[in-house]
Amino acid sequence: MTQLPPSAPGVPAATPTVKPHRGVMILVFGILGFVCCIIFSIVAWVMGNKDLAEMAAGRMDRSGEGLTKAGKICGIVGVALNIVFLVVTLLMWLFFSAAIFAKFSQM
Amino acid sequence: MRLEWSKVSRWPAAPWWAVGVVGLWLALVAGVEILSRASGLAAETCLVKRLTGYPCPTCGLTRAALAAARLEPLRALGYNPLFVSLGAALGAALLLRVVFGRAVRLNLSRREGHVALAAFLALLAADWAYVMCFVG
Repeated sequence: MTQLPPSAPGVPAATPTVKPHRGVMILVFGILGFVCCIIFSIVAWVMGNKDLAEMAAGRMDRSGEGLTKAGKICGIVGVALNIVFLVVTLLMWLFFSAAIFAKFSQM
Repeated sequence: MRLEWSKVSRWPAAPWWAVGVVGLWLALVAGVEILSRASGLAAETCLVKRLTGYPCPTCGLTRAALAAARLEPLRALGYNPLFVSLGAALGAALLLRVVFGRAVRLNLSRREGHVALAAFLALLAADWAYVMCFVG
């Protein structure tokens, strides 16, 4: 096993480079998922998952972990709200159209 | 800022659950649209418009997709200029990736990333104003 030479006094030890976090962008996408399209929520969820894994592996700046988690949670909630809304819309449409059909078939 | 034309796998590694969620959403929107058009009973597919009465910044994309399917790109662009342009750019990037096995990568510093995000939000606001005034 090779060992790194000790750094000279006063010189900081070499640290592996980590990527900057994208917490702000993920949180903005998570919030946009509420006021725009579900696609933003899905992007926030996917990016949040990926970046949290990168942070856990030490390849990404961990200072944005809170923002990234918040963005991911917003994304999950946005996806759930949109899917539930569409399912309810579809069921309501089927219910009302069936009621109208039944009313006209009785006449 | 650094622009790279780097070698990548031909197919993007999107998580299967995300593909499934997008598929489920598209199927639900298509189902509501087809049923409402076939019967003449209007049904709203946008949660924001249903709750607030105002169109959301991505309003018009269903109509834009239908116009694009009828090979009317200018009409599609008129429904939502920002998101139709972004969709076309993403489609072109995906096509390049599948054909050449390479992708354009834009490496931004944190500060540049924030500037890009602010520019996107400004464009989004302008697009929303356009949609509210002309599309509805």
